[in-house]
Amino acid sequence: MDIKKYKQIRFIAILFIISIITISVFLKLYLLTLVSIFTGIILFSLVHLSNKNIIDERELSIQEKAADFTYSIFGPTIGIGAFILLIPSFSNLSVFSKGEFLFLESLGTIFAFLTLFLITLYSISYFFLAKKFGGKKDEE
Amino acid sequence: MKNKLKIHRVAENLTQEELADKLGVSRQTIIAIESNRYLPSITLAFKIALFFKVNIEDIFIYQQED
Repeated sequence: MDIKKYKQIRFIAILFIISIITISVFLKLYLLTLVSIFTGIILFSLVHLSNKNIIDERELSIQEKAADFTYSIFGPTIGIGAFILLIPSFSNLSVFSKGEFLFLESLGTIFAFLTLFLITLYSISYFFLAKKFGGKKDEE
Repeated sequence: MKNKLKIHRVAENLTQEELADKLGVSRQTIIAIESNRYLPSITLAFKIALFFKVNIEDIFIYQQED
């Protein structure tokens, strides 16, 4: 990654974090504001440290592995999270009646859609990368 | 995979920083290769071999895993 690309990514990340903070303050979701601020601080302190060095193939390999770890942890976490959060809505017990656990059900639905989105995104990326780096059948 | 990068570097009287600059990589990459913690790409391996004017197998020694 060269300096220009790094600056472009940094600009997009700043824009994204600022918009999340603005929206969360506007909606009075102060926990999300705090989380966004902390994420921003952690991201830029880590990226700033690594940017002192030349970003070479080892750095790219680390980034690939980090992305792989993130996917393999984040995917199952939100998938299982969605399942656990949606259990009350399927239960016949009165204590788990829909009205009392509407928030959990909504969160579970969001998690379920996020999981599906993540799997779809991974599949599409995998398909295109496999096409890019793979040989064609008629080639010898 | 073992390598003799450190031997070649010392023989050329180069520091890790100098070698990294010449190869266009970070010093951390040289350290990682020398300590066998990172396996370089074939491009970088060829670059290293070309820099020291030796064959690639003179620096990188393949060892079959059991």
